[in-house]
Amino acid sequence: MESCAIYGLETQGRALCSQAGEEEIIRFFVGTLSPRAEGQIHQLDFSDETNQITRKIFKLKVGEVWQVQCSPWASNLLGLCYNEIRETSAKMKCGVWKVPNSDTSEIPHQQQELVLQWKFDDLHDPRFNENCQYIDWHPSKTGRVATIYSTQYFVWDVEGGEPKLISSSKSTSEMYMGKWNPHLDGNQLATVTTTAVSGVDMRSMKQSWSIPLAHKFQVRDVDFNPNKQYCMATCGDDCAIRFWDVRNHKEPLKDIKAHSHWVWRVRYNGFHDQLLLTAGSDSRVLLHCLPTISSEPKGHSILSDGEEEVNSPPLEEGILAKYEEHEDAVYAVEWSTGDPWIFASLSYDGRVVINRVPKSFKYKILL
Amino acid sequence: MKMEGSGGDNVSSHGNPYDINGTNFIPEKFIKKIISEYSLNKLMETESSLIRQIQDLDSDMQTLVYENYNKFILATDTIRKMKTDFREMEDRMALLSKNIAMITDNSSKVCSSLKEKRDNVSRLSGINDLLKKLKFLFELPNKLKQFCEDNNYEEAVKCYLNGVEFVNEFKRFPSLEAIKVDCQHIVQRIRDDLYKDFVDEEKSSQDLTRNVSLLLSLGESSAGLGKRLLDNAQPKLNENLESIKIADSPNVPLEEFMELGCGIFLSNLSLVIASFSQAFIQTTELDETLRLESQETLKRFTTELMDNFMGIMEHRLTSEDELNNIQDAEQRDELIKALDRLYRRLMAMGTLMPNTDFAPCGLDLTFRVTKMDADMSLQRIKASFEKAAKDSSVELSAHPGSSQEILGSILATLVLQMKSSLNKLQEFCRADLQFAQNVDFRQKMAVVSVREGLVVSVFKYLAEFGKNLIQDEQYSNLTWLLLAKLYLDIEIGTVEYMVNSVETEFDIRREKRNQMYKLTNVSSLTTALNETAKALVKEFVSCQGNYISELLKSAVLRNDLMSVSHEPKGPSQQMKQVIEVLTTLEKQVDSIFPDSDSSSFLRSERSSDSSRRSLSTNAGNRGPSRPSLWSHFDPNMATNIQKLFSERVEIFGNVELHKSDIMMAIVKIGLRALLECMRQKTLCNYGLHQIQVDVLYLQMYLWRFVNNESFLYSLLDEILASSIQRCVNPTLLEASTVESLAEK
Repeated sequence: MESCAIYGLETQGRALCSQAGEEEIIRFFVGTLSPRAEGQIHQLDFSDETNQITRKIFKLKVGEVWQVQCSPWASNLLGLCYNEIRETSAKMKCGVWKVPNSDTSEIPHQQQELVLQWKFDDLHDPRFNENCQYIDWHPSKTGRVATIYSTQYFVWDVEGGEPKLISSSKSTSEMYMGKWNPHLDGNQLATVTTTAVSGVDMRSMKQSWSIPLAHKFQVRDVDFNPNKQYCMATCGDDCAIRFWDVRNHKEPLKDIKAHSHWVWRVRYNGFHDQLLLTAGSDSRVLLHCLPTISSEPKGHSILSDGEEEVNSPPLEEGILAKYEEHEDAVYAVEWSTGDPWIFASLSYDGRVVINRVPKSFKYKILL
Repeated sequence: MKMEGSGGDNVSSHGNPYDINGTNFIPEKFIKKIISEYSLNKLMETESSLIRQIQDLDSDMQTLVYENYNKFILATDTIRKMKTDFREMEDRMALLSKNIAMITDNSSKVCSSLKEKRDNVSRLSGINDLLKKLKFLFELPNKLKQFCEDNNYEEAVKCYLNGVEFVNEFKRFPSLEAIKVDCQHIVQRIRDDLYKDFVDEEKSSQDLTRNVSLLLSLGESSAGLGKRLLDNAQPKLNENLESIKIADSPNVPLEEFMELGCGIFLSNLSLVIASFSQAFIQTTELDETLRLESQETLKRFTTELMDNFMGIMEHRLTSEDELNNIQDAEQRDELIKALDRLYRRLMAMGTLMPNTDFAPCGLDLTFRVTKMDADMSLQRIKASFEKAAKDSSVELSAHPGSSQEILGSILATLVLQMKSSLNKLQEFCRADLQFAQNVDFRQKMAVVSVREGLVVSVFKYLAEFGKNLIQDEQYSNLTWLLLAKLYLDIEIGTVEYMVNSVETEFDIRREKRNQMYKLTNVSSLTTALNETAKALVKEFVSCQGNYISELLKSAVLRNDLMSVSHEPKGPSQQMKQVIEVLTTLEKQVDSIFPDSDSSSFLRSERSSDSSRRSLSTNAGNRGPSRPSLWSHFDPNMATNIQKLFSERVEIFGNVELHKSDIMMAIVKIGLRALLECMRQKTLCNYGLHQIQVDVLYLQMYLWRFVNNESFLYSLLDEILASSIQRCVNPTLLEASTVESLAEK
């Protein structure tokens, strides 16, 4: 297997994202997690040729970072979930920060600081006292962002400079996370409660579908197939990865048990949706190949398809590769938005590993 | 000649120059040798013996010469005497030849004088023959008429056939033509009469055989006749079939039904076949191609009827009622007899008809009955096993300690049922049954119906049942464990035992190279059972583990550990509950999967100690290492180092099938869940203290359940380390304080 690149945080870590809208650079943002120190965002640039990581540290004037997500329409805007720790309380909040333009800045890298744009919690009613669970940028609508709290969620529009509340809704059961569905004109938000995943139409604020028992225990992550409507992957505490057609909530399209502990993250490759990453607290990152439920059933890309009929053998269904560089639970894994064959994973002990899809499979998919 | 002087070292009969009897004897060498080797005495001895021997030889020679000379003189005398005798003989011979010449002369004279008379006589006799023939011809029409009137068709035909020859002989006399025409008219009538009989249904095939052979000799076509003969038989046979069909109902006793089938229909059919083949096939009068043609016709005819017949037979014999009845010994016997009777009749028919064999149909039918019988047994075993499993589920929840008895009774019932089913099936192999003599049938039945259809299927079903059990909510988790144990027991002894006993009783040879039917491997069965057992235990473990996880989660996730404002008063409620649950669970698991090794004994010994003592010994042993970990505020480093030296442990991994490993796996799942939950919290100092107490409390009680204490401690350490990481202002309680709190 090709060698990987490893980077270590000094603290624990759970937050990782790839810089969106960036096609030149392979760049990841990692957030630090320590209740006794201020949070930092490490910007990691990976060079494919030299296999080197160059880092840049941005300070943050708030507590530890639980989630970081780069906005797809402005690659220098980061949505963060952070833990605000007071004397006798800890509260999860969320906000948007801007990565400073490094060219104009004369200050040494270590001293740089993210520029706070907005803290959504300050915009709420002062009595509002719920923990923020998740922040999710809308994949296609400029300036649209959803913030998910324990029992409520809000949709904001920040394009104009100041966040404008577009809609909000309550949930009867406690939410764990939420995610925009990239299809259906982006009008659907999927929310996760303990074992259920349901889709809410943002125009009517009505539930359009629901899978009440997606997993036996807590559902940890949801990801929509970027190229195939209605298709969605989930993972959870029953060690399973499941694939759903949201129109059929009774039975999953596929059920994979490959991890030996809870599965925390599932991610479709943005370009080749037969590739899928999962990460779990068994310290493993798995790369799956699922041509049977992908949008390219024969194993070759829609783009290159057409005039030339490829007669290469179809890709085999199953686990393409196991990555065991982590020694602690892996809570986050992300594909690079710049290079579809590169991905990063972050384990709790603060280790970031940047890996590639094995070359042989890459060629099988491309050719 | 005897000569001891030949005694050299290497005595060989050829080429020894010292052997006085040999051909290569060289006197000089011999003399030299004995002079040089022998002592004077021995030389003297040798010389005298040689002289003696030479004298003996001389006298022998003289007698021989004298005898021969005598014989020679005798021979000369004899030859001289013969010469004079021959001269006399020659004279007599000359006289004899003269006399014989005279006799020949006389005889030829007599002959020539008689010739004329002889010619006359032969001419007269020729005329007489011709007249006789003519008389026969003139009488022929009348004779034929006479025979016809007497219905003596055989004679008529015989006469006609004779007459036809003459008629052809005298073709050139027109006066005789009339007779021919007359004859033909009469014969035509005979034909018509003979054909009339074919339409008559009352006539049996045997009656018709006579007609057929007559008609054949009259030169009718064999194909047409054959068809007529069969057409005559058809309605009657169809009628028979109809009556069988009517009898094909559960109200008609089997014996009566079989009488209709074998006694009437098959007998009639056999008669038809016998007559037909007598007339058209086994006769030498028809040539080869015609016989083969007839054979085909017969085959088509019979096959059609038999197809119908076997259809009805099968419908009745494999009907559900019969198979239900089969459970009753008497009825069963009757069915087997019926099958045997059918088979015997079919075999008999096979001997009647060349090239066509209905016996395989009979065997096939019998085989199908055995297969269905095996299937019924299988269904029964399945049903009763399912019921037993359900009952055990109820029983286990009512009396958790009774698992061993339940296990024993399920296993015993299973084996008993299989045995009795096998015994029943064995009745099909009784020596007095004709079909049981057929080796192919026996093999097919033994392998397909009995071995594969019953025994192997039962074990396959068990494995399948176990797999589906996990999805079925009717059964309690303990049943999973119980079945797992049952499967292990079955896997170890019963599978091999049952398969072997079937193979010996039904004479199946596993290693037979040209075994026609596929034999399922015993090892594949045991593997399937073993895998199912493991899967069941694994599922049990993950289910119980997750239950523990949920308890621990609720201890952590629901509470706000940041706002705890006082020191812990003791271990939290949920931890106590966890230990309680584990204690009852251990008892249940122990009753099904007790630890087999001696460690279980030690463990129980130790667990009888007060927990206080075990705690103090623990503290004594581990005392120095643990505080040192806790006092450093870089627990991350410590756990990382620990990880370097320990192997990666799968939380939801494979489980060994004995109590301590099952318990270990459950505890492992629970503790790992607690760790994950701790990492999601932020806690204040007091919260941390609570965790400290809880962790020690767990440590004090959990070690009893597990087989890998060091792993248990490392997990607990990790929980504590993670809690310290997640603490805002971590300070730890004194070890002694924690201890006293944990014991509350």
